Amino acid sequence: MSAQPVSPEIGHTFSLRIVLAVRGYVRRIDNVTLPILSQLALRGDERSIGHANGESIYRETLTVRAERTGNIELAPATLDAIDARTGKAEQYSSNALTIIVRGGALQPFATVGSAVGGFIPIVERIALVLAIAFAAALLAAFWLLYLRRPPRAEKPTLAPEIVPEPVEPGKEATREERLRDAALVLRAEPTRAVVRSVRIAVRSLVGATAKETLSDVLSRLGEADLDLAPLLRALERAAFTTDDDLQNAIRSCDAAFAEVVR
Amino acid sequence: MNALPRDIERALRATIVGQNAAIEGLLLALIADGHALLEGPPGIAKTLACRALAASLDAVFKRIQFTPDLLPADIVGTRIFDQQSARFDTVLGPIVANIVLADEINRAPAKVQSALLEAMQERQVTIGPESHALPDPFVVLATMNPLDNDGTYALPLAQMDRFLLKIDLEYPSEAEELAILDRYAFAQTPLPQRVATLDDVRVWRAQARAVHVDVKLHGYVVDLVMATRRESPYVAGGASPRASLALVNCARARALLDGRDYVEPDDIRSVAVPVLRHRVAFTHRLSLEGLSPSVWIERAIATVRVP
Repeated sequence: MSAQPVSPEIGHTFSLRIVLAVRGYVRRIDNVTLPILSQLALRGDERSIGHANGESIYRETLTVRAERTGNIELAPATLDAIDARTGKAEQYSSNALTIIVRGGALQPFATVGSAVGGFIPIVERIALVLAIAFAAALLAAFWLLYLRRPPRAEKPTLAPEIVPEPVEPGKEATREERLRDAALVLRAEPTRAVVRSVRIAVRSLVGATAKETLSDVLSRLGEADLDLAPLLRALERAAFTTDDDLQNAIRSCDAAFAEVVR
Repeated sequence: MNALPRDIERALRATIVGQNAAIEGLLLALIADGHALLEGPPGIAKTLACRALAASLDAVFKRIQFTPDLLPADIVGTRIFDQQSARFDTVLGPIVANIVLADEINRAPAKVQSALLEAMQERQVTIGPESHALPDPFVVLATMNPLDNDGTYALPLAQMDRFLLKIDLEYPSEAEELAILDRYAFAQTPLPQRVATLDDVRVWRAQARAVHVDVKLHGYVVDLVMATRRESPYVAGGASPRASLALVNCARARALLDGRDYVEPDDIRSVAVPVLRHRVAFTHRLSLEGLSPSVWIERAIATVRVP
């Protein structure tokens, strides 16, 4: 999930983008739960699904407007789905996002009419929040009542549009699959925010904690993960290099991914 | 072709056996336009390292041995009355040099220490009515001996804060000690030839100032400094905002040493201990429990999330 720009001005519209890569051919994804946008006014919503290399890339662009200054914390967007490899219900999350809304030139209400006009979006927002909260409650109830039940003899078939590759039940996602997913997401959206999410994902793959620097991680890389060292270095560069060098750095990440994902 | 900071490092390594952290610390202080405090037992190449650094740059080098009877005028200079011309002539002191070694800085009284530290901060000395700018680059490398505390004057925290880095030197390992005997038992210790110029140093400093620091890393720096200000039975006072600036400047210099034009979290973490350990006021409980400032700082750093 990323925002463009990351520091919008109050009263101006900006985009909130969510990119999701799913293995297999998918025509629709309906079970994405968006973060609650209680502090933002929704102005538009656009969804699309693209396909490449046996993957489906879901993109959702929300056009929103910030109506107060300061930090706005957005919880991760989530996808509820059945993992075909394990047959278990899983929840996949995007990164959380903090938007810093800068002060702008919001005019005070000039007339009573404009004050009433300003009040209407607030009512709309409250209605939207209630609708989202109701949907979330329904989802939670569904999860509690249905998915938490002991497994039946036959496999549950949620999200019928997803056509996953046949995988043996009980098999965890392999390291290569996870790396392939990460590479795909970065290729779909080569931005600093996505680089940072991918960096965290790859670091967690080698067991790095949040308090370790790259040198800590590299110093204790296991034999099996030594091939990830160039990728970890490339991601570190892309995460912190200058804006001018960012696209070059992301290309280096892509090349490093190609070395470990065959 | 301009010389690189690594050329100096190679020259120093050819002269000094081991002490890699000290060599890197000296280079960081040189590039980040700061001063360094070196602490270690006698005879472990503190003075040699400073001399070698000056020789590798062909810089004007002066050594001042600090003693209890030293006066401020012995450092900054004085005015002498010339009877023939019937006027005062200014004689500049040894502080007017590119690299000044203040040997055993804690042996001089506070008045002398503060004269030196004022020069470090202002980059000028005032003798009578005249102010004299110090040369550029101007680096003070001060040494202290942690074992011999008799007859010493402890440096106040406010003065310690003026040093960009505090470099702790340890005894060499067994293998390094053998290498020292092999190399220097029957020969004078040779100083390195000039491998860079003072103009190169000025270029490196400009390059270091242009090194990119991501806004998330600013947050990391602040978190590290805030970690020293958390309530603790071992700490009487945390690091100052000057420490945050010093961390960023040293991290930039470290990135430049690595040939990068951007800072990574590792750059900040690797300089955090030498930048912070002398800026925190510790209580006596720390030494009573056998802990060193470096160990406490390392533990504090380990609690901070890396961006």
